[in-house]
Amino acid sequence: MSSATCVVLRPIVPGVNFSFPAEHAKGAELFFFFYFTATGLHALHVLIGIVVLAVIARAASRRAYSAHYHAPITVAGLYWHFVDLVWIFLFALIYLPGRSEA
Amino acid sequence: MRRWHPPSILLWALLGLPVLLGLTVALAYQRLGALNTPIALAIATTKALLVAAIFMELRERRALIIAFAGAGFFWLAILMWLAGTDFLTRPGFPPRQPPATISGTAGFPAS
Repeated sequence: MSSATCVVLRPIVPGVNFSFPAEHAKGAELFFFFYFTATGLHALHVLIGIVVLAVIARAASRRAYSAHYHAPITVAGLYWHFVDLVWIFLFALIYLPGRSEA
Repeated sequence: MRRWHPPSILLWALLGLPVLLGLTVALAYQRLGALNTPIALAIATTKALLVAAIFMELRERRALIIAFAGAGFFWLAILMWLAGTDFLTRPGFPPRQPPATISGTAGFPAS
Protein backbone atom coordinates (compact mmCIF):
# COMPACT_ATOMS: atom_id res chain seq x y z
CA MET A 1 0.00 0.00 0.00
CA SER A 2 1.37 3.39 -0.95
CA SER A 3 2.15 5.90 1.74
CA ALA A 4 -0.42 8.36 0.35
CA THR A 5 -3.15 5.75 0.74
CA CYS A 6 -1.95 5.11 4.28
CA VAL A 7 -2.18 8.81 5.16
CA VAL A 8 -5.75 8.93 3.92
CA LEU A 9 -6.83 5.67 5.52
CA ARG A 10 -5.04 6.01 8.86
CA PRO A 11 -7.74 8.04 10.66
CA ILE A 12 -10.48 5.80 9.23
CA VAL A 13 -8.95 2.36 9.53
CA PRO A 14 -6.72 1.98 12.58
CA GLY A 15 -3.81 -0.34 12.00
CA VAL A 16 -3.90 -0.04 8.21
CA ASN A 17 -0.14 0.53 8.17
CA PHE A 18 0.53 -2.20 10.73
CA SER A 19 3.66 -4.15 10.02
CA PHE A 20 4.99 -7.25 11.68
CA PRO A 21 8.79 -7.24 11.49
CA ALA A 22 9.43 -10.97 11.50
CA GLU A 23 11.40 -13.23 9.22
CA HIS A 24 8.32 -14.82 7.64
CA ALA A 25 6.08 -11.73 7.87
CA LYS A 26 5.18 -11.56 4.17
CA GLY A 27 4.61 -15.31 3.96
CA ALA A 28 2.44 -15.17 7.09
CA GLU A 29 0.43 -12.32 5.58
CA LEU A 30 -0.15 -14.30 2.40
CA PHE A 31 -1.08 -17.41 4.36
CA PHE A 32 -3.54 -15.63 6.62
CA PHE A 33 -5.28 -13.93 3.68
CA PHE A 34 -5.97 -17.44 2.39
CA TYR A 35 -6.72 -18.74 5.88
CA PHE A 36 -9.31 -16.13 6.89
CA THR A 37 -10.95 -16.01 3.46
CA ALA A 38 -11.29 -19.79 3.30
CA THR A 39 -12.37 -20.35 6.92
CA GLY A 40 -14.65 -17.29 6.89
CA LEU A 41 -16.41 -18.42 3.72
CA HIS A 42 -16.68 -21.92 5.14
CA ALA A 43 -18.10 -20.60 8.44
CA LEU A 44 -20.77 -18.75 6.45
CA HIS A 45 -21.78 -22.00 4.70
CA VAL A 46 -21.80 -23.89 8.02
CA LEU A 47 -24.11 -21.22 9.48
CA ILE A 48 -26.43 -21.53 6.47
CA GLY A 49 -26.39 -25.31 6.93
CA ILE A 50 -27.25 -25.02 10.64
CA VAL A 51 -30.24 -22.81 9.83
CA VAL A 52 -31.40 -25.16 7.03
CA LEU A 53 -31.07 -28.24 9.27
CA ALA A 54 -32.90 -26.48 12.11
CA VAL A 55 -35.79 -25.68 9.78
CA ILE A 56 -35.81 -29.30 8.52
CA ALA A 57 -35.72 -30.65 12.10
CA ARG A 58 -38.63 -28.42 13.08
CA ALA A 59 -40.67 -29.57 10.09
CA ALA A 60 -39.76 -33.20 10.81
CA SER A 61 -40.91 -32.87 14.42
CA ARG A 62 -44.26 -31.74 13.04
CA ARG A 63 -44.38 -34.88 10.86
CA ALA A 64 -44.07 -32.94 7.61
CA TYR A 65 -42.11 -35.78 5.96
CA SER A 66 -43.06 -39.31 5.09
CA ALA A 67 -41.76 -42.28 3.14
CA HIS A 68 -43.23 -40.65 0.04
CA TYR A 69 -42.09 -37.09 0.65
CA HIS A 70 -38.63 -36.48 2.10
CA ALA A 71 -36.73 -34.67 -0.67
CA PRO A 72 -35.93 -31.64 1.56
CA ILE A 73 -34.12 -33.91 4.04
CA THR A 74 -32.11 -35.51 1.22
CA VAL A 75 -31.20 -32.17 -0.34
CA ALA A 76 -30.26 -30.59 3.01
CA GLY A 77 -28.15 -33.66 3.80
CA LEU A 78 -26.36 -33.40 0.45
CA TYR A 79 -25.63 -29.71 1.12
CA TRP A 80 -24.37 -30.42 4.63
CA HIS A 81 -22.05 -33.19 3.47
CA PHE A 82 -20.72 -31.09 0.61
CA VAL A 83 -19.80 -28.41 3.17
CA ASP A 84 -18.14 -31.23 5.13
CA LEU A 85 -16.15 -32.23 2.03
CA VAL A 86 -14.85 -28.67 1.69
CA TRP A 87 -13.65 -28.74 5.28
CA ILE A 88 -11.94 -32.13 4.82
CA PHE A 89 -9.70 -30.59 2.15
CA LEU A 90 -9.34 -27.20 3.84
CA PHE A 91 -8.20 -28.87 7.06
CA ALA A 92 -5.48 -30.78 5.20
CA LEU A 93 -4.38 -27.61 3.39
CA ILE A 94 -4.31 -25.10 6.28
CA TYR A 95 -3.69 -27.04 9.50
CA LEU A 96 -1.38 -29.89 8.52
CA PRO A 97 1.45 -28.34 6.43
CA GLY A 98 4.66 -27.59 8.28
CA ARG A 99 3.82 -29.63 11.41
CA SER A 100 6.83 -31.90 11.08
CA GLU A 101 9.25 -28.96 10.93
CA ALA A 102 8.12 -27.42 14.22
CA MET B 1 -45.60 -50.47 10.97
CA ARG B 2 -42.18 -52.00 10.45
CA ARG B 3 -39.44 -50.43 12.57
CA TRP B 4 -36.76 -48.79 10.46
CA HIS B 5 -33.09 -49.02 11.43
CA PRO B 6 -30.40 -46.82 9.89
CA PRO B 7 -27.89 -48.82 7.86
CA SER B 8 -24.91 -49.84 10.00
CA ILE B 9 -22.54 -48.62 7.27
CA LEU B 10 -23.41 -45.05 8.37
CA LEU B 11 -22.03 -45.86 11.83
CA TRP B 12 -18.88 -47.38 10.32
CA ALA B 13 -18.32 -44.24 8.24
CA LEU B 14 -18.91 -42.09 11.33
CA LEU B 15 -16.24 -44.10 13.18
CA GLY B 16 -13.88 -44.27 10.21
CA LEU B 17 -13.67 -40.51 9.65
CA PRO B 18 -12.24 -39.65 13.13
CA VAL B 19 -9.81 -42.59 12.79
CA LEU B 20 -8.55 -41.17 9.47
CA LEU B 21 -8.42 -37.71 11.07
CA GLY B 22 -6.20 -39.08 13.86
CA LEU B 23 -4.02 -40.85 11.29
CA THR B 24 -3.54 -37.74 9.16
CA VAL B 25 -2.73 -35.55 12.20
CA ALA B 26 -0.25 -38.16 13.51
CA LEU B 27 1.43 -38.47 10.10
CA ALA B 28 1.63 -34.66 9.75
CA TYR B 29 4.04 -34.61 12.71
CA GLN B 30 6.35 -37.23 11.16
CA ARG B 31 9.38 -35.97 9.27
CA LEU B 32 8.54 -37.30 5.79
CA GLY B 33 9.87 -34.35 3.84
CA ALA B 34 8.09 -33.80 0.53
CA LEU B 35 5.79 -36.77 1.24
CA ASN B 36 3.84 -35.01 4.00
CA THR B 37 1.55 -33.03 1.70
CA PRO B 38 0.73 -35.87 -0.76
CA ILE B 39 -0.05 -38.19 2.19
CA ALA B 40 -2.29 -35.57 3.82
CA LEU B 41 -4.14 -35.02 0.54
CA ALA B 42 -4.43 -38.77 -0.11
CA ILE B 43 -6.05 -39.27 3.32
CA ALA B 44 -8.29 -36.25 2.69
CA THR B 45 -9.36 -37.82 -0.62
CA THR B 46 -10.11 -41.10 1.15
CA LYS B 47 -12.25 -39.25 3.69
CA ALA B 48 -14.00 -37.35 0.90
CA LEU B 49 -14.77 -40.63 -0.91
CA LEU B 50 -16.20 -42.09 2.33
CA VAL B 51 -18.47 -39.06 2.76
CA ALA B 52 -19.49 -39.05 -0.91
CA ALA B 53 -20.11 -42.81 -1.19
CA ILE B 54 -21.79 -43.41 2.16
CA PHE B 55 -23.25 -40.19 3.60
CA MET B 56 -24.20 -38.75 0.22
CA GLU B 57 -25.29 -42.26 -0.88
CA LEU B 58 -23.49 -42.00 -4.21
CA ARG B 59 -22.55 -45.71 -4.07
CA GLU B 60 -26.20 -46.58 -4.74
CA ARG B 61 -26.62 -44.18 -7.62
CA ARG B 62 -26.46 -44.51 -11.40
CA ALA B 63 -23.34 -43.54 -13.33
CA LEU B 64 -25.03 -40.41 -14.65
CA ILE B 65 -25.68 -39.08 -11.13
CA ILE B 66 -22.14 -39.94 -10.06
CA ALA B 67 -20.86 -38.05 -13.12
CA PHE B 68 -22.86 -34.97 -12.11
CA ALA B 69 -21.61 -35.24 -8.52
CA GLY B 70 -18.08 -35.61 -9.89
CA ALA B 71 -18.60 -32.39 -11.84
CA GLY B 72 -19.49 -30.71 -8.54
CA PHE B 73 -16.32 -31.99 -6.88
CA PHE B 74 -14.30 -30.93 -9.91
CA TRP B 75 -15.78 -27.43 -9.52
CA LEU B 76 -14.74 -27.50 -5.85
CA ALA B 77 -11.20 -28.40 -6.93
CA ILE B 78 -11.16 -25.44 -9.33
CA LEU B 79 -12.39 -23.17 -6.51
CA MET B 80 -9.63 -24.34 -4.17
CA TRP B 81 -7.00 -24.13 -6.89
CA LEU B 82 -7.94 -20.55 -7.80
CA ALA B 83 -8.17 -19.54 -4.14
CA GLY B 84 -4.70 -20.96 -3.59
CA THR B 85 -2.97 -19.61 -6.72
CA ASP B 86 -1.44 -16.61 -4.98
CA PHE B 87 -0.16 -18.83 -2.18
CA LEU B 88 1.03 -21.59 -4.52
CA THR B 89 2.79 -19.48 -7.16
CA ARG B 90 4.88 -17.16 -5.02
CA PRO B 91 8.55 -18.09 -5.18
CA GLY B 92 8.65 -18.60 -1.42
CA PHE B 93 9.01 -16.50 1.67
CA PRO B 94 11.58 -15.55 2.69
CA PRO B 95 13.28 -15.45 -0.73
CA ARG B 96 15.76 -18.29 -1.14
CA GLN B 97 18.53 -15.88 -2.08
CA PRO B 98 18.42 -13.02 0.44
CA PRO B 99 18.67 -9.75 -1.52
CA ALA B 100 21.83 -8.44 0.11
CA THR B 101 22.30 -5.57 -2.35
CA ILE B 102 18.86 -4.07 -1.91
CA SER B 103 18.75 -1.18 0.50
CA GLY B 104 16.35 1.62 1.37
CA THR B 105 12.77 0.44 1.80
CA ALA B 106 11.93 -2.58 3.86
CA GLY B 107 9.87 -4.04 1.02
CA PHE B 108 10.62 -7.16 -0.95
CA PRO B 109 12.30 -6.93 -4.36
CA ALA B 110 10.02 -6.66 -7.35
CA SER B 111 11.36 -9.75 -9.06
